[in-house]
Amino acid sequence: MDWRERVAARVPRITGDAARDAEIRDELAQHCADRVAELCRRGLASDAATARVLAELDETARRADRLAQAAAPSLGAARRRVALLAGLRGDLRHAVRLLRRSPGFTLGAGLTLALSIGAVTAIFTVVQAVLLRPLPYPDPGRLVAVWEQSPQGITRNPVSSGNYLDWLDRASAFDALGALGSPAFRAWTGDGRARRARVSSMTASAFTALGVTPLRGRLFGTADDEVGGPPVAVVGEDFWRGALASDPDVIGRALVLDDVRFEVIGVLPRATVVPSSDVDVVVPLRLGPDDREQRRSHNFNVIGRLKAGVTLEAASDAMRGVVAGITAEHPQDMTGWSAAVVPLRDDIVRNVRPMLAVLLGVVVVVLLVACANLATLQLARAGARTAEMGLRTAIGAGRGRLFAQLLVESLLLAAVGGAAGIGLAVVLVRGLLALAPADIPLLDLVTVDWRIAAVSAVLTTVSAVLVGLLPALHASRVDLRPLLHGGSAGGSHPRGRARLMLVGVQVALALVLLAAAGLLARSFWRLNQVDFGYDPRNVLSVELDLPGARYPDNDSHVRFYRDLLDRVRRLPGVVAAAGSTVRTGEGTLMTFSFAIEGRPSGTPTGREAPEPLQAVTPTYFETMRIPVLEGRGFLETDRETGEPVVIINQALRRLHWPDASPIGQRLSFRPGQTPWLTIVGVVGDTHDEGRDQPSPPTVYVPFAQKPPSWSWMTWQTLVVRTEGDPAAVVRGVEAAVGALDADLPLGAVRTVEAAFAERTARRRFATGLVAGFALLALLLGAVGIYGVLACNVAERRREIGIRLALGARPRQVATAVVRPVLIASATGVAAGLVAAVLAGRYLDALLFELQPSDPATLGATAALLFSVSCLAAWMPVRRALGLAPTRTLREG
Amino acid sequence: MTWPLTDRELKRGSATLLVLALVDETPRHGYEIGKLIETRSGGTISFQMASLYPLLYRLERRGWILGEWREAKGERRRRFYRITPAGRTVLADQRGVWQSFVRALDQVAGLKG
Repeated sequence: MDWRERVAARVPRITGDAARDAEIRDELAQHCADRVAELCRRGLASDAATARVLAELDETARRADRLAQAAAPSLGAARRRVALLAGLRGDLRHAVRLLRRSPGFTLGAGLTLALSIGAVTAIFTVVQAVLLRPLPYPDPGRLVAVWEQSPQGITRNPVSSGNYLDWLDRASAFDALGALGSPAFRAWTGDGRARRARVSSMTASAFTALGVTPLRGRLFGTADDEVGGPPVAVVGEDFWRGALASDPDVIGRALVLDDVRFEVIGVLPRATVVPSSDVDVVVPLRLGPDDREQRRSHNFNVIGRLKAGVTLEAASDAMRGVVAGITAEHPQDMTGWSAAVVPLRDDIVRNVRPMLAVLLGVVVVVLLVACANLATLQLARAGARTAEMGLRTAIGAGRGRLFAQLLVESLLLAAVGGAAGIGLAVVLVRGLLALAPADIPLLDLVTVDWRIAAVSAVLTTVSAVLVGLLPALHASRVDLRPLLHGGSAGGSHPRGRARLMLVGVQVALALVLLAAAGLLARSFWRLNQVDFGYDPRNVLSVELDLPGARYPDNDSHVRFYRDLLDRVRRLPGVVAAAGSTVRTGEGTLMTFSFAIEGRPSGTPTGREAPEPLQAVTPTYFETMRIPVLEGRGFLETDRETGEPVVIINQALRRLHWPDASPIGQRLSFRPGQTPWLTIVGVVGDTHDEGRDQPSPPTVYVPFAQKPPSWSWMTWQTLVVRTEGDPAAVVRGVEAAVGALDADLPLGAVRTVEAAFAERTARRRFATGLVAGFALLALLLGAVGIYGVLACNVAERRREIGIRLALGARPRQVATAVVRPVLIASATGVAAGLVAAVLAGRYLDALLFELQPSDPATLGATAALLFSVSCLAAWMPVRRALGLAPTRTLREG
Repeated sequence: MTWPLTDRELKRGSATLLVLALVDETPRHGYEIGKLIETRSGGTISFQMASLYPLLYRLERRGWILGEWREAKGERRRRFYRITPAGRTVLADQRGVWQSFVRALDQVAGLKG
């Protein structure tokens, strides 16, 4: 039998390419024939020789896959996959082994990845929920807020009822347009202890515009919008589950709010963003014929749903046309006014957007630092592994294999780091939600979902490939011989240059973050240095509001608060107590224009521009420790029967009486209708809205002298100054209120300091987070620098040893080693400063009286970073110099 | 420094060197290459058909050697392999590596001593 046939019988198919297979079989057959001939020549019997060669051929046939693999570059797809998987498995095993063998590197790289990915994922989760995720309503892209724009340039001016009703009739761009009143607290009585409920009012069309489906019952219908309609209410899901204990019979239940009985007709789902997630009860907003004429009082928020296909621009244009029409009919009220249509989501998140954008930028920089750091670590390690890689290349490991192996290593690292990072992200998100200031909207929608996990996975993979590629490319190009000869790679080596470059990049990025943290921290510190204008320590603030039904006139208000304050002052531990219409931490929302006697203003009304007004009880200034600078404070005798008096603050004095004393001058809110009020004193300026807000020019009037037309002014914030901890008197104040009116709920009870801490919560939150991330970046940068030098020194130990042995001074040697690294970090510092100044403008919105390019902060940051670089560089060098030259020589 | 070399890599690496060295002298056919490795190594290294041809095909695919069918008079046609310029570079590299490696082994393990 011919060998060709034997081969064909045993190896019928090799590569799948018939011609190539025939050639291979020819060659194998020739080999077999040669082999048999030789065995016979050596004296073997022909049969035995043939049998032996047949055995060899069988062995070849069994391993035909190797022939195929070697001969055919284009394997069948399935086989190639098998081969690839087999290779991958090997690489994976190898990678696990290697990572386990260098725990320092693995831990450092893994932690770097986990921390950065965790931070990025957590922040991105929050940003996604607050800034990016669509609002939880059907077709949310069509939801808009519509604002009036005032002639004074206020772009988000609430809307007057007259204009809103005209818009309803005339605006054609919307499927629905609805109005919302501002939320307010009302006394909720009749269900046990009197409590406060946060009540908002909305038109039925506002619910239509949103497209909300009630959790239970129904929402308002058009009939509910009619003035005089039945008193109905919709409760929020949280209020229902909490205050109403998930009452299954909630529909039809009665709610007594400010002595008015409402019937509950529905429950709003929790995901309701409008009016806001903390609203307890929504009642119908009913606008009647009188409201149609009202164009001066701007009280309503308006939301709408654009008609399908109508763009924001088209709607804005249409609204401008509508407003122009209304202005033509009511020029005296409307001249200069306009309207703006903005996406509802943007409107809701406008206040937190700058902060979240900065945080997002910061974590992205952290991720970059982490990538640079990883690349540095990998490079340092690739340096240490150059000999291994070189040898493997030389003895036949293909470059592709080597490349694949390094990539697998990086991916493994990234997988581990990424998994840890996602775990960390879940923890971080919980922490963020717990620490986040309450005024960030939409936070209750935050969840870590699969999309975020996917983003993290992509980030992980990208960082893995980024950091894996460079060293892999590098290592696979290694020339082996000098290494085997015992040479060393110095700073001029490309790898050395790449490492130095990475150090520079890390330093620059870390500097940007540190500068941001420094600016925020400094600005926060400055803010805390601002004097409130009064002493906020040991003052309890209690908000109260009297229901108009039971307290109809000024007499009843004045009597109630006077009696209450008398009781409170007698409580043990109370030093002083007073009341004011200003809600602690919110400033006053009431502004009044007034005329100055004998000095008619140039305006058509003859009055000055409106300024904030506070109605206070007599001892308010003493209680708050606001200094009386001229004249006197209010007295118990400043009552309805006494001479009408007023006190102004310094800011108002500067505005209207910059030179002469205002004492004895007279003001009137409406000359002819309200009396002239004599200025009896000037008090110091206060920052009632928080330290970051300017102190507005303010008019103080005695609460006891409010005119009959102000009978709507029913609320007071009690301020109670105590000897010790204000919390100790809370019970007593509650009891005092209960003794006077058991059905009157207490509003917010908190210390003045706590109220202002709430005001700065967002700033503190951002500052804390950025500082945390900056420290992380600093740490990573320091680790990177340390790693580079440790590695550099290790490689140059032999050289250092020789130099020392030859008599070089340690200082010279150290300088030579450290210099390139310090030059790199100095370059990084310089580049970072430029970047920090450029990035600074994004911080502007978060800074308080500080320029983003503040030289002192930037200088200090640069100095700090450079010092840390020096320290990180010095440590490994010191260690190397401490070694005896002979030892390093032997080791090298 | 440790080199986690697998036996396979070591053998494959050395085999590459051997094959390249042999076809560098003159073009040779597969059987001759296998035979020469065995005889010149005094029988220490031998290549079975099952591993020799995959190696040859792999080196050919990498462009280090080139196989051509030749028909000598009165003989059957055979596939002869000759070295390519790329193969010559690799050979030079490998000679250097192996020299260093052997020297290193010698220094460590006293191979010649």
